[in-house]
Amino acid sequence: MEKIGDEMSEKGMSGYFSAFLSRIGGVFLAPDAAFKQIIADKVGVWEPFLLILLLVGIEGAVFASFVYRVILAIAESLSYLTGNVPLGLLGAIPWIMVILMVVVALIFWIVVAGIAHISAKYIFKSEGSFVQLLKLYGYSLTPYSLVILGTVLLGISWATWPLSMFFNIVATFWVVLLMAVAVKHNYNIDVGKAFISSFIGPMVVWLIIVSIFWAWLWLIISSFAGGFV
Amino acid sequence: MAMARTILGGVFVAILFVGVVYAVVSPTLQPISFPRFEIPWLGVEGERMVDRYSLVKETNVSDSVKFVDLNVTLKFGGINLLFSNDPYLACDVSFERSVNVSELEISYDELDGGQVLQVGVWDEAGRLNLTLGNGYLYNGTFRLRIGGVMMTLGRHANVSRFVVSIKYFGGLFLEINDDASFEQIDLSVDIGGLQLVVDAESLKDSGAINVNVNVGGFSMSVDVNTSEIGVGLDAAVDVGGLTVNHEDFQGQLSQRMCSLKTVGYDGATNKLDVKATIGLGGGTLQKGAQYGFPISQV
Repeated sequence: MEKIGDEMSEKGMSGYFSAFLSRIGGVFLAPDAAFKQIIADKVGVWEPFLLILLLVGIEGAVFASFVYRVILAIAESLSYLTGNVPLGLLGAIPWIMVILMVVVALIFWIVVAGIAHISAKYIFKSEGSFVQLLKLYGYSLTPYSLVILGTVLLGISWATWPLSMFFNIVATFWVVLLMAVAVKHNYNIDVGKAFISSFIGPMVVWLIIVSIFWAWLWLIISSFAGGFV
Repeated sequence: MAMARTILGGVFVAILFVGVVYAVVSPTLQPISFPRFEIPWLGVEGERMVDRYSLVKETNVSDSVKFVDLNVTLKFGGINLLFSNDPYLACDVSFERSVNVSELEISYDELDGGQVLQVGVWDEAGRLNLTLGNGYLYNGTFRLRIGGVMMTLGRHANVSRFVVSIKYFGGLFLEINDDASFEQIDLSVDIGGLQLVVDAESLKDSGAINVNVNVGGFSMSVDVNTSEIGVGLDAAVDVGGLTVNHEDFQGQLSQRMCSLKTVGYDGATNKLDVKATIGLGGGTLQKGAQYGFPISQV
């Protein structure tokens, strides 16, 4: 019985992994169908959550390894003055970077989805689940793998910077497009409204926040100059 | 189509895997290196060498020489001076330096009918150890820009006048021990500390020490037999204060000035008069040495 149970779980695991690969590939090749399937399959929120964790964590690790190499090089360069002292807190910088990147990405994930949800639901008067949108947004981040590839290439050789930049631009446009498709399927609205909800909405919020910040900064600076300038 | 999706999903996983592998192995396989930051005049451990010179009677110093006139200039580093019980030794120089620093320049000449041996020592940076004998009367000028000077005058010391100055910043330590003989010693530090330790039962002669610190501290420790050695201290601080914690001294003391003498100063066999001028900083007088002075052996 135990053996059968193990085989079953192995088949289950391989089947799950195969379905996961198919979902990821589907997001790249046919996002419309892939998102419909994800909604129909009622995939849990943990999978996209782990996907974001992996994508941003690995990108952070690649970037942090570069920073770690730079710190080691600086420590070696200054060892004449400092002696062979252990890195201490400096050695923790890469880890802090990875953790910060992951935390910021998770906050960004929730905030951007929240703005799109508010926009689609209250401005365009459509129905849809916020948690469902979170899941689809998680999958929308899959082209971010191109950013990882670009960073690795850049790390191997600086000469690959045009290719790295190309990957970054493609990934950015692709992620924006996939987010619009995700909103479209989650709220059953046309792609124009979905684009406004997924991209224009967060951009407007971002611009408002930046404007408030600059206005606040301007008020502070002008107060030093004796009032409004 | 399903196969293509699975393959593309596999490519995605492969990219993540490559990212993980690269993040792990790149610090080892692809280290970054910057040019090593070095200050030539400081030298590097393991890349040091020592220059040695000796001026010895009947070897390279005439019998007629009675006085030795030292002129020592070092830009950065340390000077350590002591006296030995060797009547033939005029001057022994040991200079530890980096291989990047030029060799010690030393010159000597006999003047005034062979009575005065004039010795010049110059270099950029390093650690200079001077050992003097007890068969000559010494004059000396010691100039250092940045670094430390340590001098010990004991029973073998026979000094007419020493002038020691640290032009920019550093530390100066002078210890007077039993039966030292000196007429005048001038010590000056621009920025830094100066410590004078008098730990003696007796002196061969009376002497005077003039101290000048522009910015920093002056610490004087006196532990003497007051019937043999009368110690006087006249000190003035421009900005700062004076602290006296010594029962053997009496006289006038204010926050920034003092004129103190040991009990029985007038009747003491020999006198040691110290005049200290401190710009910005403080001065202390106590019986025991307050602070340890870092001593490194070559």
